[in-house]
Amino acid sequence: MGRPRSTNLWRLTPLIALTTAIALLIGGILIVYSGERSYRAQKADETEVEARILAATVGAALSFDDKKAAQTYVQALDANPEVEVAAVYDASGGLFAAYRRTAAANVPSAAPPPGVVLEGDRRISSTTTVARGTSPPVGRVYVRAVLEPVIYRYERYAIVGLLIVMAALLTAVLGVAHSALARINRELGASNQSLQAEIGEREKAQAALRQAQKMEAIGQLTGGVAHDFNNILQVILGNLGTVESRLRQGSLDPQRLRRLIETAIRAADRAAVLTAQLLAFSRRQPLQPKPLDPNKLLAGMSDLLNRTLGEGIEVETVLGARLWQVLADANQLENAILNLAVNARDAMPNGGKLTIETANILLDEAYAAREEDVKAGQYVLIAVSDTGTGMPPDIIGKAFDPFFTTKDVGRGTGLGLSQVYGFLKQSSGHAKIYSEAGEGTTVKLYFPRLLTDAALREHGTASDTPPARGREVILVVEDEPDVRGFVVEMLRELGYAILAAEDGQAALRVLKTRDDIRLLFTDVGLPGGLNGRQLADEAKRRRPDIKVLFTTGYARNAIVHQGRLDPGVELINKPFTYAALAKRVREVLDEGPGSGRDA
Amino acid sequence: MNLTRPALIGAGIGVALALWCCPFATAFGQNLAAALKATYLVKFGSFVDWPPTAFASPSSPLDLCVVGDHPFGDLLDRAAAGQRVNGHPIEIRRLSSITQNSNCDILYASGASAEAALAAARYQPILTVTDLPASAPQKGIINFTIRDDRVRFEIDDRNARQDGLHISSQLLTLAVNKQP
Repeated sequence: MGRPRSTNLWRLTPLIALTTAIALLIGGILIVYSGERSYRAQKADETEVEARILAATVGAALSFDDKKAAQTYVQALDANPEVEVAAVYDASGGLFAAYRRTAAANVPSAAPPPGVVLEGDRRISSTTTVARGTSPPVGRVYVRAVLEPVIYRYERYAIVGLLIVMAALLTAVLGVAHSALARINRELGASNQSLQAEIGEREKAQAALRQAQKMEAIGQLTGGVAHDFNNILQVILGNLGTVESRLRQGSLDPQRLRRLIETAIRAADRAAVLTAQLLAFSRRQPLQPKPLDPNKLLAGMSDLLNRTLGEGIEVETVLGARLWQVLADANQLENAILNLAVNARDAMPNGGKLTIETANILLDEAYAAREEDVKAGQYVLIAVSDTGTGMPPDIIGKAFDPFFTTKDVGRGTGLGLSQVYGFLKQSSGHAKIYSEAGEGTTVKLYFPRLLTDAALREHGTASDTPPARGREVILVVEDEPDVRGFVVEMLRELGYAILAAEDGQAALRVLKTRDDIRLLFTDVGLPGGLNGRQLADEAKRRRPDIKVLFTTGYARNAIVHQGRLDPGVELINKPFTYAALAKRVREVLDEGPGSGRDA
Repeated sequence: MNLTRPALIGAGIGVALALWCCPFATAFGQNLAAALKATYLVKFGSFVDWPPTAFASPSSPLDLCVVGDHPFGDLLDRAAAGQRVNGHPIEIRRLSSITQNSNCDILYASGASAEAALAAARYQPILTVTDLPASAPQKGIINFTIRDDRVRFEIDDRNARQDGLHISSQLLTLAVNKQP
């Protein structure tokens, strides 16, 4: 509200400054003028007073023709430095007595008429009649004073003028500065407005773009879905039509009829999968997460996968031993794997190999720090790999976006990977794509391990591939508590007796008290001044028969030199799976007694 | 052109020449001295204050009495013509002798009659003027004298005050006998 008014004021500032400056100048000129006037008037008065005093004293000298006395009187004016000339004239106007300050000073030879006269710029004179009472005048006196040199006066005026000019300048400068500031403010305001307008325009354009994208996406979706359904309906209608015509003709070969109907049912199944995908995408289908064993689910899918992929593609499943349970919706997980399989198939038009692996995985802090929204911990990994065309990096970045597809219209909906991604997120897991053009693609799905009593129970009973177990005593040295707990738990499950320490010094103390330790399992990087390598050396010095297994996520310099492991060093890299750990531990324990000693 | 002015200037130059150049021993010089003394007699009144009782009214005449022999002839009348002293017109009176009731304001006494006239004017507010040598036992309040060939005067201020007269300091400073 106050803004426009103040803006107007700002705009008036230069005018005000100019007016002030002009007023100051006029004022200054008036001051100089009136100063000059009053100075002259004052000097005129002073000169007249001098003349009158002289006239009052010189009367007798004139009357009685005493030039000597008159001379004494005029000479007395020497005391006043402003008086240049003082003269006395007799009644007939003749010069009677005169005083001149300098020899050059000119004295009028005849009496001037009475009055005050400004003589030129610098002199002022006063002539007064000498008369006593009402007697006739006996003569005149003439006093001439020199005004202060004009230059001095003008110097004073100049100082005053200078001050005035400076004040005016200051005012003008302030005014200009203020107006500049006001102008900048106005410009800022204007540019801010245009910026706001531009932002508004851009928002509108973005909204329009989003709308256009949405329409395009809906178009793609509709086209893709319609095409897929048409194909499915074609298969169903075709098969049912054949069945009907066979029935009408009466050729009732049950074998052939069953095959036709089965084909129709498979097509209907595909349609059901498609609608499930659509419902999942539109979030109309609630998830029903349940504890499940991914290995079992995958085993149940092998028929479906073989049918989906066709004959040109070989399917290999590598199921991890003692796989943990996860909490997920079984239908959605099937859908996700099916989607990945379909993508893999499409990436391998000339045939290839699809590999599905499962494993227990430990994701450490370093991994979690690199990835967004990923917590370190225990996960079940399902990796789907193909030997297809692969994806360049820019495609990988967009692969999880809804409706993004590299396939022609009608060949895909662009919903497959997006469904996978959304499902993983809903299941507190995450998905990652590793691909190189021409080499193939691996999509890794990570589900967090389900830790419930039921899961643990099922865990205990499930033993498809019995892992390498043992009962030896193992000392685990690991500074990271989560990792240490995980390793200790895994090794205990395998039947080993476990001792744990958080750093090198603690480990040495444990070594001192127990002589039945068969294996030292240590992280390479340890705090407390003793790294894993140094700890191992010290342990071997004390107990030459002890076995050592190193683990590390980084900081390999202590045991790896020039890209190679030092001889006799056993290492398992983080992150490692349950099965890999069991295998490595067993291997190291079963090694010949001499192999670990020459370090 | 005004004819009076060159004439006056000429007269002035003449007077000046006479004053500066010529000794008073000549008859012309004596006449000139008499003319000056006559003028001075008229002018003294302007520098003297009489007691208020001396004049009946502000416009009553100032009596200038001349007693005994005098060198003025009609010079005095000419000098006083049209002149006023503090508003009083001047009246010239030539007397052979003077008494208590002569009513003179200024008295010029000279020659043999001077002594008697002075005695008669004593203790009255009369400005007595004489033209006596410095050695004379009795002189007027103002006494003409010649100094540096010029007509000057002495003033007996004490006597004047005794007679109730006040003489202007301007005049006193011009006296040749002025006291510092």
